[in-house]
Amino acid sequence: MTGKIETTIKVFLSYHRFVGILLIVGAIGYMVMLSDPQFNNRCYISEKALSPGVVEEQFNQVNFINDYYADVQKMYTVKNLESGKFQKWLEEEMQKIGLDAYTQNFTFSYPLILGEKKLQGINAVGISRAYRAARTEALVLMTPLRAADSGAASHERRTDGSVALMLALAKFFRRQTHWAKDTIFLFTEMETVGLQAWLYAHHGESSLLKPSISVSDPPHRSGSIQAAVALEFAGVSGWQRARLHVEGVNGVLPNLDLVNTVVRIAGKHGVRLELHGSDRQPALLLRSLLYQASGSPASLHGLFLPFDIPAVGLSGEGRAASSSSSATRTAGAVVEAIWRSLNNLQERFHQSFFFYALPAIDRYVSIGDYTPPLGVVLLALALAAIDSLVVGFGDGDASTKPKSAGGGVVGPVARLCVMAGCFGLLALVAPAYFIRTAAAFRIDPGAGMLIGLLAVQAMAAAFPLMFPNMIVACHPGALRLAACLSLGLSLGAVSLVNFGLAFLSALPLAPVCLLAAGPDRLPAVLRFGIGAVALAAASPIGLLLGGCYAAGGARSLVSAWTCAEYGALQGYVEGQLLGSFTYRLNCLMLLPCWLLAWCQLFARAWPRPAAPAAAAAAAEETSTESEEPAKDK
Amino acid sequence: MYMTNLFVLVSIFLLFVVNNCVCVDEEDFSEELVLSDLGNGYSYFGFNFVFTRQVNDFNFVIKATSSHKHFNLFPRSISDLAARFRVSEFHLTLSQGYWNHAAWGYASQPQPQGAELWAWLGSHGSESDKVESNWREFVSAVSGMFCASVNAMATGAVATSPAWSYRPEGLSQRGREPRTLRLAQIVNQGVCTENLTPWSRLLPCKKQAGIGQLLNAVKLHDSAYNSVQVHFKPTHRGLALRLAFTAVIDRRIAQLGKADWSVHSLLSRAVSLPCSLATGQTGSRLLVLKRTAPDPDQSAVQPEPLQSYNLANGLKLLDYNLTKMLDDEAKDSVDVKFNFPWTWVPVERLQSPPVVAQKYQIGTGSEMGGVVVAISNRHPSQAINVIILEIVPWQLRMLFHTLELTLGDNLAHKANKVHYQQSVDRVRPAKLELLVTVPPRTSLRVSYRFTKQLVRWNEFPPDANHGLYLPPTVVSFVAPSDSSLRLPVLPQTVLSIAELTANRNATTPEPIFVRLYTEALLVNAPKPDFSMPYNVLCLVCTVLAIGSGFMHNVACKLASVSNPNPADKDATLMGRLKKMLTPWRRQ
Repeated sequence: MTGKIETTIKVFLSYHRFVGILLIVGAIGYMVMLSDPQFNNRCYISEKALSPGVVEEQFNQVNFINDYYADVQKMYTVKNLESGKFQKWLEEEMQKIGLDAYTQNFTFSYPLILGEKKLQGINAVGISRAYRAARTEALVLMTPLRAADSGAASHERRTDGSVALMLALAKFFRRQTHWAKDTIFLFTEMETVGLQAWLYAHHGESSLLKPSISVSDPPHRSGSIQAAVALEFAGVSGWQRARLHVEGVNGVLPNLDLVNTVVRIAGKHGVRLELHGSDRQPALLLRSLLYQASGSPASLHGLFLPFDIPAVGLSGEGRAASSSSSATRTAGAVVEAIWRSLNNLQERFHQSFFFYALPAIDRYVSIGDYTPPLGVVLLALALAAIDSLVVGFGDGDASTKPKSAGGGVVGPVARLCVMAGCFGLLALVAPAYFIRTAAAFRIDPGAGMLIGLLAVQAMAAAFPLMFPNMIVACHPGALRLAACLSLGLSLGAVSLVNFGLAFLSALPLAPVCLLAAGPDRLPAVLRFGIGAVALAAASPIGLLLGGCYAAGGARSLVSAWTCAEYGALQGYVEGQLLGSFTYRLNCLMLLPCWLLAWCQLFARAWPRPAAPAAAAAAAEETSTESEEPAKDK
Repeated sequence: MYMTNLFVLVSIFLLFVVNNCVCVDEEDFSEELVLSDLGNGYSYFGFNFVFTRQVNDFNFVIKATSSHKHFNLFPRSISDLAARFRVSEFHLTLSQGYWNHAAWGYASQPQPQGAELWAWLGSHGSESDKVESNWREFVSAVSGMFCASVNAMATGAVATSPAWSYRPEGLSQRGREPRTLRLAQIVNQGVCTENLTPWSRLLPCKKQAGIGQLLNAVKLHDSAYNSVQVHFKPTHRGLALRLAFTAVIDRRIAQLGKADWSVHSLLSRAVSLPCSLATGQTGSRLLVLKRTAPDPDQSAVQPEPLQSYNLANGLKLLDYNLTKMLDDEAKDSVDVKFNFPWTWVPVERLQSPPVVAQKYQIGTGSEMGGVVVAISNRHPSQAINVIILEIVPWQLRMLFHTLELTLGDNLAHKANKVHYQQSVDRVRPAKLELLVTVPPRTSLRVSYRFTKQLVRWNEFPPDANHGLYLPPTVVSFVAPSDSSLRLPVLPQTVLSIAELTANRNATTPEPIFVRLYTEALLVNAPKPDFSMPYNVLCLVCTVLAIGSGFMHNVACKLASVSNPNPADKDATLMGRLKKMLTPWRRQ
């Protein structure tokens, strides 16, 4: 009976590659299916205290916005921003309104890219004290300061609209009596650097930012921050269409209730919200996962999330359709409504979901629904691993032979794993040297880094050629076991931190790892060729270049190269400055796993040698000797 | 004739008897409202209702129940409370909002956010054992009396007894009797009309006449800071009770920043009837406190006061005697109007008080946290000794070895004296008292770290995700006499401004004892997942356990009737002894 079951299992396992590929295709199909409204759910408000959109907004002071906008237009120039005059003006305006306002200086030095240069920046902050509360809780409304002289390329990204809106709201909020939490109006310079400086200083941990950022202590503080909203609007009436950003550093998402509150309130006021600039179903889900996988924040709000502060970003999309006063009023009313909702919160955001995927702006896939596809992919890898265990590590036909030519089974594979890890470490550590060397040759850092990484990748690829003995010594089955297990475990571990990254890297890597040895029927050369191309495409660098090429509409190789340069550099720098894991995970987990799969290809191509004759004979003798007593028994 | 004489005699006798029994102690009541413009559009309202009661035998009041005593003005419930639980002095305050001392100056009675109760309980002789139970019952009684849910204060896990920061304000009865201090603070206790109503019922004129007429709850609770206070203490003559209500109203919100303001414009009430029971030394008064130096309060006040006094520390007091004004001038009501167009002056540019304290949280994550208390001495030449009291709830385990005192820029500093008591889980909070000298023009930074404990599931409050409150730090010091104390600081040793005006010699500046409270902090404490699946799991497990428990009993246990007699026999002492000795018995 057991024999029958055993045979069935063995027969089943012998098809594991086919089954594995079926499972992976199934996982992709499942994921695509999830983006269909039939298989996901409509968002609902779980925290009833929020009751979004219930209040009647009182904001009607269109003149506040228009007046401030006129002033901002005059003041908001690159020159004023760099000299800090604009921030000073903001501070004074907020003080006039009656806020506890201050400016905060910070310096940013990043020798790797900036060299000796130190950048000076100034944040402007105003705290509107909740009238009847005791400074224990706060909410943050922020906008980055980005001046652009008209006509400049970055003119579209300027934030004069949100600056004016925030000042107008500050004036309006200050006169309202119903706030339960302080509001911190935050204007930060230099994108993430300024915000990072303020956040760390507010939490009293600015020493952690050294040596790259040094920042002064804020003179005024408020209590624990409950939520944050980042605004980026050019012009004051571009609120018919806006874009919602959710993904934070490392793909951390804000509580779904917060997202939902913003979506509902925008809906109430007729503001069309978009997610990732797309509303076609499978594409949007894929983009959500991609944003998550990149590990870089979708907008500045993403920096709040590592501090356990739920936050979303709103940015203006396209040009203002009209500059009517009703559109301007809408801008104020939307933020007011969000604020009224957030002020209702009795506790921190804790209900609803922290892990979800958004297939549409008002629909969600819960963690219970989106993890099974990854589980299915991991199952395919597990089947391959089990198969190599079941087949055993004997040599060829004589599967019972306890010892093989290369010494133990574990030793060579372990050595290979350590070497693979070393390549990962190299890729992690080396970029600093690449960039410095590139600087010496006057090559810009991105190019230097990408070339360097390509070199590391090439070295990793050449590794089997350089140390053929290490490959040959490994038992192919054991190597396969190691490759599948390490990939499966890495993906499983990463999925807990960043699901998008785990799933999206599983899609190319898992099939390649399964099929690295290639189908048996093809001729050896063809098998090797196909395997090598597939593996090269699935390598981290290959994926980066391929991804950039695809994102650029598969038009220009040059633009794909520049994009990849930027992507690699951004990943590295964000890893250092924002604490994003993506670059590190790519180096320390995915590259070694890829290398093991790559070695598998060679192990298959180079059959284990009938080792030198004498040694082989000796081995045979010992083996027959050792076999005899076994037979006796 | 004989009969008449007898009648007279009897009457005199009766009169004597009655007089003896209803021996009315001398009582006194006066009331006052202190008004002040704090600058930047903030108006200060300080209601004081002061009761005194002369007691010949002080010991009698504290120890015996005062059941056969007659009370005219003094609230009997308060006196009974003190007598019943051997409380010689207590201070209860329920406050909402933060007293912004950096901008407004020191308050005469600053209070922390939430509820604070501190009391001195008699603890000599046999009473020393009863301090705990007395405190517990006292808290319950106070809690019920003022409709405040402060029962949690009764447990030792909240209440402490600081060594230096709190001293008795009243005279100790007979000087040397031992007393024990209990202090408890609950940060998230709100204040509402339901607290104000029982409080205002203690007033002799209620809200019907006198200053009490101005107690418009709707307006007073809609303020940046408001505080309901009860201060009870013994004096050299007997007992003193001060019922106080303090409110700070922001005119930017209350009347959209209009330059003119008056009592009526902010409270929508005016005094139309004098409280005829306010027969005390100072009667019924409306006082306006103005700053004359260093940055004078330039608001024009109407009408002209009947009297004005110059006080210490650059303060001027305008005195409006309500009884007189309402009687003499035959007015319908009395209102005081202020006129001064103001502009917002940032806190940094204000003439700041000599010592300013700020407390904030540092650190991220739900495992560790930290606190910084920054105290700056802004006095140009004088070093100030401050006493810092820090109470840390046991849920946040304070790490004493991380305590750091730095002066100015990274200069390690040492406390003159340290009193520290480690917390004991579920039993008492950690208590840290430091006596530190802060040199002039420097700021002291006291910081420490704590670990956040994951408490038992049944110890979480209903709003577990709200977080835990860290009570405010209490900073006590004696402010130098020459420093410019901003309004409305008053010596805490006097009962009220009324007493101050009675003593005209108070024009020479004298050092003032100040106790100030920093912000309270909300700490994000670790908590398990209290979400629906968790609840469902708990519930399902409970139902299964209940259901399967009895099924298991029925299925697996055999019911049998046993003979009770041998058991009885064994149960007796002799039986058990015999049983024990059985093995030794010779067969």
